[in-house]
Amino acid sequence: MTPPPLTYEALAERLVRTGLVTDPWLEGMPRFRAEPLLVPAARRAALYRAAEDVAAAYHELARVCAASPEFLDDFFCLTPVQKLMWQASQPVWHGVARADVFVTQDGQLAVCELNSDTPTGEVEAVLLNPLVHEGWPDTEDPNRALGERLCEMVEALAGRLLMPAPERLAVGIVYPTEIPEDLGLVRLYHQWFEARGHTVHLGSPFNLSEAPDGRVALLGAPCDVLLRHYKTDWWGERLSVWDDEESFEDRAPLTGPLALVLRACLEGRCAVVNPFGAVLTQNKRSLAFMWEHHARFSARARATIRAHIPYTVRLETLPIEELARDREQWVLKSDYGAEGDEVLVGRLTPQREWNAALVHALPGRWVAQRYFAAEESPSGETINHGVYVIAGQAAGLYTRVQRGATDPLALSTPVLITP
Amino acid sequence: MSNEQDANPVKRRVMTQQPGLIGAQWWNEGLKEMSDPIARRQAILALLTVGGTVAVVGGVLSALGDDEEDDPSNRSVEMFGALDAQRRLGWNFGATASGLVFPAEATTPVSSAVRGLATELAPRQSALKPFYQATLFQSVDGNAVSLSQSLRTLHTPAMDTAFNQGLALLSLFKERPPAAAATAVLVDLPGPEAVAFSTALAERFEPVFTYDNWPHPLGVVPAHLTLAAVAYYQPLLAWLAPRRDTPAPPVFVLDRERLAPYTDPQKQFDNRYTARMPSAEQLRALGIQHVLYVLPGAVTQELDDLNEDLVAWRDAGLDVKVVAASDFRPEALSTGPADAGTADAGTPDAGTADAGTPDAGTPRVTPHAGIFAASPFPLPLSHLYYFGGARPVHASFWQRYPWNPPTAPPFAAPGRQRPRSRRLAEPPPPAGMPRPADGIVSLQNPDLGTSTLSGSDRYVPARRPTMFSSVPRGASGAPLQRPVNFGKVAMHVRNRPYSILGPSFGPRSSWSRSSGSSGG
Repeated sequence: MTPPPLTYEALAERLVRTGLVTDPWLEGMPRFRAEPLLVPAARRAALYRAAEDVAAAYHELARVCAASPEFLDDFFCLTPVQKLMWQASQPVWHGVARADVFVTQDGQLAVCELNSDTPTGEVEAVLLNPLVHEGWPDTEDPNRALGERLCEMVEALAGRLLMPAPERLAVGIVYPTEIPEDLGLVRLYHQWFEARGHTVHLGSPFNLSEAPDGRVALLGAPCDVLLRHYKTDWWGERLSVWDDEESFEDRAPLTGPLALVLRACLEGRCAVVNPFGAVLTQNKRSLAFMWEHHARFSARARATIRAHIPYTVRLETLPIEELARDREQWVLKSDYGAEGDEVLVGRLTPQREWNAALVHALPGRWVAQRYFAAEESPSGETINHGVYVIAGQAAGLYTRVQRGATDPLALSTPVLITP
Repeated sequence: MSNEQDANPVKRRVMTQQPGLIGAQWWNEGLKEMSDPIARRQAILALLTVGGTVAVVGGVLSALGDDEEDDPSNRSVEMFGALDAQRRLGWNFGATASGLVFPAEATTPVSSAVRGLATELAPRQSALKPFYQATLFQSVDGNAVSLSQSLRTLHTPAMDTAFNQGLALLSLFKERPPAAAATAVLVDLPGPEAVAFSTALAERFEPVFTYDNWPHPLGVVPAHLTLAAVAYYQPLLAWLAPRRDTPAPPVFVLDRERLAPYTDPQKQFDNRYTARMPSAEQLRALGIQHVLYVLPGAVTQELDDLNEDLVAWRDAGLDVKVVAASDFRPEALSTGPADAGTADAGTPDAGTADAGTPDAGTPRVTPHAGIFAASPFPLPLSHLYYFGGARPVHASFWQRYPWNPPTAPPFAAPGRQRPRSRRLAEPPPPAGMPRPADGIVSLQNPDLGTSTLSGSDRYVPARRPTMFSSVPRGASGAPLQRPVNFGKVAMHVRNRPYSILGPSFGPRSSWSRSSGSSGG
């Protein structure tokens, strides 16, 4: 195959023209890669199967915790408002998620986490592939139906939970309006839902109020569905994960907006996607729960956990000396750290910094996950195959490449499927 | 929209509202459960977990709870764990109209910082974290608005006394760093005093709080006073933590009121609990060889829930001793740099945070103050407390508690000569302590305060019948076998469909039908 005759500058220009991407560079470096990653159909099938199986295992975890609420305190150390979110939603936690899947050096598939709260990357996943696809005939864009699948899921969920379910939905996209980095995603969602005949309203949790008919209103406009792109841990109490860090200035939970939304949900006047139940599944201690309470899962889920979830335990269950000594074998992750934030890969972290992290990590807030060696390209890059799972079924791929652990500097890459 | 997007529009084909057409089976089953009216009801009840913090249930309950009259035959009474019920129904459920009662000294509202107590006061040393109980602090964690608003900081003369008693004990441990490193201190005083005493020790010892209950307006254990005292010392504890050398031995902070008498189920809320202590093996793993159990005085016996632990520690070879806090008293014969305050043993100082400038001059600071003298917090540092209320008796402490004896006693008994060759090796007496030239000290001299000591150093743990005796646990670390209904509350429940109607204690038991939540 001939490489695509597309320079990065040309790709960037086309991306900007979409109106959804305004920043093809980050800190002076490209955010994207023009050359697509070619994934054989068989590998995609394996990636999809792994992601779906892991999502199903998460659902079993949700059911276990719904039946045994003591785990919310004893294992997950949820705050009162986090528990409220879970209990108002349980066992429903899922609409759209992204499983981060790596091919390991021994050919296995490792799912290091499932982003089930406010998964990102849809803009890149949807926009990049069409821009390079013409240069790669006989390949398939795996994300062609991503928007459609997402909308169908929201409609199905609304049809089940709203009483009555309207023919046309009023969709409120709730996001942190003061943070611009996800505006592209908000615009994309906006386009998707408007294209299907729904009305869309935008705003932040602080713009929520009660409509006269009992629905939730966003900037005064009543909404049937809230597309929640505002993290559950931001709705709840904001507490540091370090014992030597200044407290957040805005530690108080958003009780007013939250009460409004939860009440509307329970009355059948509002559906939230992702449901607030994601507060449990997004908590990385769920990965530790799968291992520490292995026997509570079905045989199929146990097989999935053993096959795909790297061994994970609560940080406080391991002797600190052992963690310090075996630094290169572990990765530390905070409960709600996102995209490389509050993730320390032992072999990439200086011993002194690692030790300090072990000392200052607050108990109840961290997990330690076994390091696994991911397959690397000849240039030493690892590939993070983000598999979108919508309503429990795989629906697309968002691929990033980077040397070392994935963080915001990773390059988003077009991905095309070969026969 | 770009051309690329136009080529791939998202077209609506059909409004999908049919079960099973979209998504995995498990996803649809979950939605089905959630759309079930019964499931919604349960979710509404679950909301009551933090009903005191989020006023979300009132309208929902009134909307969904008035549709059926309860048949009395469909009701029964069940016992619930008090703490579980509070977590589920709100900290003050059943007594929302009653307030917490504070002493007159408690007038200052707590700051919002109390909401971080659970994490802020967790031991910094990983090895101590398993023994920490954050339960009490979790009662104000996050969003317990009504409790936070009801809470005051507490600072009493009794707390100042306890703080000074702790400083006096600390001064002794400073003389014997090896003994300190091998000693776990258990401070079993009434909640606020235990916090004060332990805070004074926190320069060298890492506090491990063991408070395993929540406050309640009708609670037999006045946990709110303990919480209020912790709130008072919170800034000081935060200031101390990074200044404390590690590894530091533990000081386990207990509340002596945890087993307070519970006599009237109709008017009291049973928020009692038992202390959970490490096993002997766990203490040994921490390098602990000695346990010093601090009691208020007069009583020289451990509380019932600790009997098994202390006996098991003794059996495992740990040296367990008791010291009475009241054995640390203001210096009665003081001519030293600090004013003595009151000479009456056990009488709380009139000490206030800006304690005394009796001569209207610069406040004098006790030599025991150590790092606290440099702290930015108002502390009662002008009173000099000693073991036995006298410096010579203070010096005899390590003879009564012979841990890590020095190469030669700093003060010889009459008739004994210290070898000359050892003189240079002797540690200098601590500041404020008499030097050998000041006089010979003897334990046989009854005029120096020893006659008023409690004699707690003669304590030996012995197994005895207690209300927890039925199942010895041998300090396994497992929870004690509690008596029937210990730490439980009776609740009225509806059997079909199952729901909690309300408590059977307190002035009213119609809680479940009220439109209000358990707080703000």
